[in-house]
Amino acid sequence: MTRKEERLLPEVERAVRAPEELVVVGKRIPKSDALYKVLGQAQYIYDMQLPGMLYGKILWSERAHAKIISIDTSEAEKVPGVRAVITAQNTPEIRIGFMKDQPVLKKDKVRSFRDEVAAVAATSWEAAEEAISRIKVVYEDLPGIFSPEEAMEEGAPLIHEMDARGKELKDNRIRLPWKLVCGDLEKGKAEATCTVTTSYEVPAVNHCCMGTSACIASFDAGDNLTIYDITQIPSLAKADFLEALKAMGAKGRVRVITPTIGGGFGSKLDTYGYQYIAMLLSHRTKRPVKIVFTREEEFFATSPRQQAKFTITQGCDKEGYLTFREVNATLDNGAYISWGATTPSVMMMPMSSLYRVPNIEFKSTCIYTNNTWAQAMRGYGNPQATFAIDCNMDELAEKAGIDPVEFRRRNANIPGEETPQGFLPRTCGHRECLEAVVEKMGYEGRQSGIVEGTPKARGMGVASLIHVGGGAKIYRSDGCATSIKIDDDGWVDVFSGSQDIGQGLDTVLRQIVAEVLGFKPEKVKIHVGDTDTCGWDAGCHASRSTFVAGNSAKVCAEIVRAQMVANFAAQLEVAEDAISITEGEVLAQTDDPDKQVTKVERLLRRAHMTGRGNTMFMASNFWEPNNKLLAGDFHGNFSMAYTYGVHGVELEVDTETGQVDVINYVAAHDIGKAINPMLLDGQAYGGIMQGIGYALTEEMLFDKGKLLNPNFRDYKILTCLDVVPIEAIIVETDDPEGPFGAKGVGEPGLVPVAPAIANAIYDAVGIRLRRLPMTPDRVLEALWAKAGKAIA
Amino acid sequence: MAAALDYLRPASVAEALSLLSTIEGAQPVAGATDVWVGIRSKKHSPKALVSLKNIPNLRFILPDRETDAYEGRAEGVTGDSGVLLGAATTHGDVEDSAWMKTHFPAVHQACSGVGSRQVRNVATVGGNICNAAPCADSAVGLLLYDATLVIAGPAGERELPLSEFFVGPGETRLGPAEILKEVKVPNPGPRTYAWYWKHTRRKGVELPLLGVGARVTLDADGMVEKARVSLGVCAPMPTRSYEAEKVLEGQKLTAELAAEAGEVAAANALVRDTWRGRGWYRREMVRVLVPRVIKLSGALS
Repeated sequence: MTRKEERLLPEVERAVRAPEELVVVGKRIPKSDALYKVLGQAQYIYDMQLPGMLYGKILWSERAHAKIISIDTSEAEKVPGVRAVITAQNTPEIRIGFMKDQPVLKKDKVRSFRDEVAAVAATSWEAAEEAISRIKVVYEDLPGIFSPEEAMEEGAPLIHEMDARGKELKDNRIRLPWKLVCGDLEKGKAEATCTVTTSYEVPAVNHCCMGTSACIASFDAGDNLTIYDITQIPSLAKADFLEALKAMGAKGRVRVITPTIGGGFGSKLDTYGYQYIAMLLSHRTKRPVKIVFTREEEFFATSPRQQAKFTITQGCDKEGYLTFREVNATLDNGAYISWGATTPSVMMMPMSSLYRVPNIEFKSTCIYTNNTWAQAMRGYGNPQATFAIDCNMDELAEKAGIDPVEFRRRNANIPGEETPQGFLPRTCGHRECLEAVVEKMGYEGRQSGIVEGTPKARGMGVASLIHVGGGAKIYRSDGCATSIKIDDDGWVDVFSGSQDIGQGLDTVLRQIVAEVLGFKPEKVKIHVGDTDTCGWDAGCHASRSTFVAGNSAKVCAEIVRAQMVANFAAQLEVAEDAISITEGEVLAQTDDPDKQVTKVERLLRRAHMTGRGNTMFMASNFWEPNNKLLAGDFHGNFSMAYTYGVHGVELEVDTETGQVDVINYVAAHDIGKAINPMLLDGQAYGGIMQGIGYALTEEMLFDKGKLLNPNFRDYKILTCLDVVPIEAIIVETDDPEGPFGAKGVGEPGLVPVAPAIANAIYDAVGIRLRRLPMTPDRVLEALWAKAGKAIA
Repeated sequence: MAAALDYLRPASVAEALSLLSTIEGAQPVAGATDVWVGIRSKKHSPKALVSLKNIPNLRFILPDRETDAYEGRAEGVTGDSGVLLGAATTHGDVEDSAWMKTHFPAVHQACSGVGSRQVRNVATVGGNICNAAPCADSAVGLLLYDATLVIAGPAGERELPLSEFFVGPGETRLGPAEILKEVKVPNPGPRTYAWYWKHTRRKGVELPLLGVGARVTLDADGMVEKARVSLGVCAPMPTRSYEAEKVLEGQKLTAELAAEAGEVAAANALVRDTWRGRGWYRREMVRVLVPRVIKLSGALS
């Protein structure tokens, strides 16, 4: 098919690198921190104790929606050990969230069960808790709104009467008009010979970080704040905290330090009320204040992936090529605005650019409700959107009479083609991923349906993904700073503005820097998470760290390497191009046998310590990707590279119990180049298991805004015993912009899991499940509905 | 965080009983895996905890494993191949006992599926029974074998069939100054087949959506001499389906008969809708799983 050839970009020039040239990059090197974590030596914030430290607890709202009539803290103040009790009445107002619709401590009104009403600092957790229990709040209930439908009804009570600027609001719709139009929808509809409209529903799910939210805020005598924190975004958090300092009248500076982080997955992409409360309590008491969430607080008072509903129509022509896609989405934003309200900006990516579809209209509305407010979670809006797209793809394929795999083959993305939204993927291994998965699964010869003599039926399904793999320009800068210093014993310290939240960036940067310098990886140490010593970075999000921080570190290492080469060439009296450094040895092309191989440490020491030298090798670099902010119509190339993938699943449905068991899982990802295949496998395994949870078991259950299952007993995150056989296939397309050809892969593993499973269930038993999670009772209910059997 | 409470460690059953009768609101604990959850979530606020962990001779599987200091307590009590379990025997002890696996497979399965291995290392069988959750796995398993509880109290020891022990969720016939000391399981006799199935959403750290146990003992002619069908989460307490048992007893065991037992058990199940699971689904699972568990027991082959 060549209908879009005229839009193909000229073939990009590929750097030609023979794999054997790489010594460290591409190797399966264990995570740098693995030993310390396994032995319990990694220092988490929960382990930290500062002299004089107090313990902070928060009083959460006891109502979903109510006026605060009065708060009486007098009894709390009498509890022995209590050093401060704060409310909105006795502290300066700090507003948070990018639309500033939320005060940290609520003054006149609470809008959800996780609203912060008061807080206490005391000399023990017990005293703080006791004091919290003695605060008396008088509420006057307001009618609560717990779904976007109720919120949009005529005359529904307003959750916010006015916006942050004091402008009156007329309804509960959030003023973020997400609308993307590409091509000509009507033309696409006219060209379609087959269309399918379906609706999908996804629940709120929690990140379930093993480390709960926590921080220690500490002001020194000069009003300088040091905050030990678990943020994914040290530089941006610092900016937020500085703003709060101004509101508090503190003139000092802010230092954000992150110890080992027990999981992020997007949950730490914004700053939260508790961090500001710790700051307020510390400023009030002049003592360090630690706040640590209980697991229950972590569930109900952190921000989940939001509940959403999609209605999607796609059409294809008689040859099975997509002609249009039209999608409407409604998102339950919850009571306040955080990044969750911007997930439609990422939903646009698969909406416009997953499979080749020329004519698109996507609209999304985020609605205020009295539920918990939503945030980013691995994949941002992508998994939700892909569930709608890739399930509908199967339904359309069936209606068009085309095998689901063949249908995807025809519509697969290709490299070099500008997508309707204006993305320019220079590399794209979508088709390679599809073929690899189909072959590995034995899709063509599959036997679907009932396994003879059992109540179980087998099926296979596939789904695809596109995700940003080369940064994502959301802020005016999408860059990352790196500083490198090498000491005279050959130890290398790399200070990256980026952040490691367990994904293994420390290992990836170590490999990249060691490769460029020609040093052994164990000589390289990565430092992240200290805003006093590390430069600026846009944060650990959008699967950008390997790509952006990796490129930044690579360029920085190249500068240092050039410094060394110039110096070593002079020392060895050879030309610079006669010098190479590999695995810690300096090789010189010279006839002098004494100079042909020299340990790098020897030359480093001589450069520094001898009269002819006194040189140290260090450099800093800020690397800014060449991507663009999306235009007002959301068009533009906001990432320098795009990651693709295809997942295939084989499963068994118990037709009597509705139980779904994944038997085999194959996932192929085009990640450009695997810097470390072992870590890549880990990202795939983790993402897929999290995705299976999203598909089959996980769901935050609310009763009028109150979370019913704030614990691991009732919130069904999968366990190690649930791990299924997973084969992670690496497709390497060697991206010209990525460090050593790499693209990002932090989020993709989760993205297409749910639709692949839903499609496989259909293949097995012929039922379409359009609501997550696909629990056994919902599966059985659908099986009964298909058989015309009513449930009692 | 709980208010401060005393943690007492008696060294004998007599001392434990005396503490329980003198301290009002004292709560006996062994593994404490349920008790602590209750305290932390403020559902319970005992004045003191009386730990049974340091009392000798409460953790054994007789005749499979004895405690070092055991003094021949159970001689002849259980008969050949019956079992006497100390109340402080952990689920992990049962899980690790090949002997239990061979002779009491349903109890072994029930105990091996509780919580995680870390929980099973401390959570005790006696605690699981006394906690009296409707889903108590070990109780559902033990009900199949007509287990009897040996209860120690101020007036000495008494025995009570497990099937009469439960009153409601978290409620039992254990007095405030009594402790469960032993679980006595008679020899179920030859040609006994039993199985326990925990129907769950995931494979670990899970409460059952439904627990189903079945046991049949065949006579020399292959007829069902004795049948037991037990259910967890099907009533306010672990329970037997006497109706299903009646269907099976005195009959020749066939797949059809097993299916009929499932139908009858389902029709009589006291399931209800909760946010953890819908009633119709639980009832349907009783219907489906009772015959499956009978089949898994091996009695049909």
